[in-house]
Amino acid sequence: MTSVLIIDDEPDVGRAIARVMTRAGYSTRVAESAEAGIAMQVQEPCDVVITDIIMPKQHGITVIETLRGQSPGTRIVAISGGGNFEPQEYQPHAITTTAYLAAAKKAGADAVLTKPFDKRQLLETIAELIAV
Amino acid sequence: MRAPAGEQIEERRVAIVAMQPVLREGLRAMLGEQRSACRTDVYDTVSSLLDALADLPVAIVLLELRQTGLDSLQQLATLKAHWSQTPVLTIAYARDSASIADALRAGADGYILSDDRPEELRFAIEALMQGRRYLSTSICDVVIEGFLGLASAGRLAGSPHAKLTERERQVMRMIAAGLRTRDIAQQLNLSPKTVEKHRSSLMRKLGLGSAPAVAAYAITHGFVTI
Repeated sequence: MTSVLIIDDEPDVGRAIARVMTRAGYSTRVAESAEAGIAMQVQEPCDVVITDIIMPKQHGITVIETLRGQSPGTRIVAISGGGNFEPQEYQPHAITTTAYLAAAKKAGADAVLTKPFDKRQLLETIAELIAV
Repeated sequence: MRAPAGEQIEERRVAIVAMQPVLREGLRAMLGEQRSACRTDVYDTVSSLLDALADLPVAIVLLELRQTGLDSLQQLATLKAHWSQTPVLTIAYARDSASIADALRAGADGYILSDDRPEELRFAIEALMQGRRYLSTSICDVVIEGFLGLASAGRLAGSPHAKLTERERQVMRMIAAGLRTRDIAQQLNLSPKTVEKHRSSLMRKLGLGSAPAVAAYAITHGFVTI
């Protein structure tokens, strides 16, 4: 069974993604910070990591760079909807969001998704990455 | 130090100044996609940019103008004082007319918002590189309304706040935000005594006698939004 680690400082978002992935047949784990996510991935690596970009303390770019160094085969999906730590209305088309995802790609993310995304987009993205 | 007229500007060099590392690297990545021939350097402050490239003005500077970073305007003014001919595009979070006016007064050649679409970044850079100024389409209404409001009231040059210095405007906003002298001093890296001096001076110029009156004036005249 393909395993997926979701890293997002918004617990509701992390749980919602995990629910979708579990129903689709993936084994899932959730971390609520970059630090916790990196630790979990070191302890028991998942096949796919979905990480938010803007998080308190360490951000998602650090997650991507760290995991790329540790396990180059891990498929990484970066997600972002804007530039604030507080849950708020997403800004999918903002310069900042575009910049965050561009930074994620440059750091080594295999795919990026702009929040909000729907179930189908998420599952298709993961399926494509696993198929490669 | 003001750069001499005819300063030598490196045509293909772009500098990005932003406090957030992810934004810095993200803007660099975006520009890499758009302007592959350019060399892009990133800095966290204007000081670090000037330390690194003091004698080599760049073609354009992209400056993140933070809403809470009260030294942002000072950084902008410092940059323009050193590189008078280098266009500066501010990527800002504030969309109120007073903040926009402050940035333009401090020397911004372009003003776009962080939540604008990425096309605005491209349009703004193109305009500034051609020697034009640029305002994001999303702030046009605010700017036009501000201009018409001032013009109809005959206050373009004659308003009491036209006499305020940049520092006094900063202090006025912070008073309006409910900050005490000690907090203002800490945020602006000044002594409480100096803040008191600015406070007295601005109140005298505006003809006001109390902090609530200053707050009311700031709100009425669009220096702060509620």
